[in-house]
Amino acid sequence: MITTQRKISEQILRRLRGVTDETSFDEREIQLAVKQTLASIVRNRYFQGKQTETGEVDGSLFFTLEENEVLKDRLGRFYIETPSSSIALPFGVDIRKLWKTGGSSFIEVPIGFIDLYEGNDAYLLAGKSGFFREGNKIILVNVSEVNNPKKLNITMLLPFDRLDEDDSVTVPSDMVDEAIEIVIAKFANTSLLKQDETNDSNAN
Amino acid sequence: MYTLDKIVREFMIEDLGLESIDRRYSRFLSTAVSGLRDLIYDNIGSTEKEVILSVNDNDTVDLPSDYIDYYAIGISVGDELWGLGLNQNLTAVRKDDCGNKLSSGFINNPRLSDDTINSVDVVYYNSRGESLGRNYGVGGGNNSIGEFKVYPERGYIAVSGYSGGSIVLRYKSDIDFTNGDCVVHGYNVEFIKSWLWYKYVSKSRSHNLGQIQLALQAMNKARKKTQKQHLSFTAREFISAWKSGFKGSPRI
Repeated sequence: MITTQRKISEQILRRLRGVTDETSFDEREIQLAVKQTLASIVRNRYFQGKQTETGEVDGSLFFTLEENEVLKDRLGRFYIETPSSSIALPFGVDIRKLWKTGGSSFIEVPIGFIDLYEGNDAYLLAGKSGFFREGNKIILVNVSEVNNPKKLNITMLLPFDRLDEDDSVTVPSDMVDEAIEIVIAKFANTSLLKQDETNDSNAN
Repeated sequence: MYTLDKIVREFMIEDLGLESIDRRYSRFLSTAVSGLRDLIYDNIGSTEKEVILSVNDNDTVDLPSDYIDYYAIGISVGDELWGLGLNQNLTAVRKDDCGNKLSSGFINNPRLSDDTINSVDVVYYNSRGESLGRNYGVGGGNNSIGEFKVYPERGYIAVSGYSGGSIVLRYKSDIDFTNGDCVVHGYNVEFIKSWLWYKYVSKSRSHNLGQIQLALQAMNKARKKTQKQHLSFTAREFISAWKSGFKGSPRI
């Protein structure tokens, strides 16, 4: 279903107000919880799927962030700033694609690729360029001044940092439902806890 | 036309069931290169190359960087390759880099003087003056063009008795990479995929011994199949080979 983070948060808020008398729920807190919950669900579903098949991630959860500028660091390496945090999945599944418009895609390599593969026949990646992640950078491999792409596109799994609360996202209905239940359970449990008004301290 | 890149991608799609290339690509590519090498070193689908190489002043010929083993070493005469003779006794270096002959180690040894060595060329006669030819078992086997011995670990061929400026080397070459990728013969494709699968399974903790054994069997089967495919011949080749073995001659 096509929805937004704000819609999901509002739904949660309405239900929470129906369950508890608490009216001071912070909407930003709920939106944050929605993001985190959706990330957890996607991650869990990936691992569940991996047990039976290949661990696919629904294509509707991927977003392309276009025209990220390629920079050069002081070590002479070409890189782009990671445009958004993502959901960490094994083998780098969370970054589906990094590519130059009209060109072939870059291949993700292990972080120790340069040292490990130096002199190896696979170092040139069959004539392709590669990348690995280092902190908030995506370092490009087999890229020089000659073939340096000025800008790169990146397709990421639910890049929440770059998605507005009102941006439309296509999330399966059952996933939305699951997320709502989890967030409500979290907040309701907290708010329904009775305040400890009894003095348990020993008079003696 | 198959390339290693294409094979690795097909493997990731077919055997691993992936939806996109992940960071294991470089590892599989490296493994695929090893598989192809394994095949080539076993003389299955190996690549034959022929190059003309110049002879250095010190009677050596530098081997190409992708040299593995030689098929023939000789000179080009017309359309044919005339082979140099193999001499396993040929020393590695007899001349310095400038072409000056190095002093012989045996020159001061009276039992192994140059005269002694050269005496093998003496023609013997019996008491009646009949020629006995040369000493039986001495000399012979020399090649009129020249001789060679390959020193692969030193990276050159030592030649002797050859006065030409260049030789022809027909050799088994290593994998030929162009821009990081290499072309693979169609017969080798399935073997490389089964090699990749075996290597993947055997290094994976989530596969048991039975699965590893099955993968090994499949890999060996693929190797045999590849070998047979390379050894297959066409009807034309068969007829040609069969005809060349028979020469019609008139009965007298």
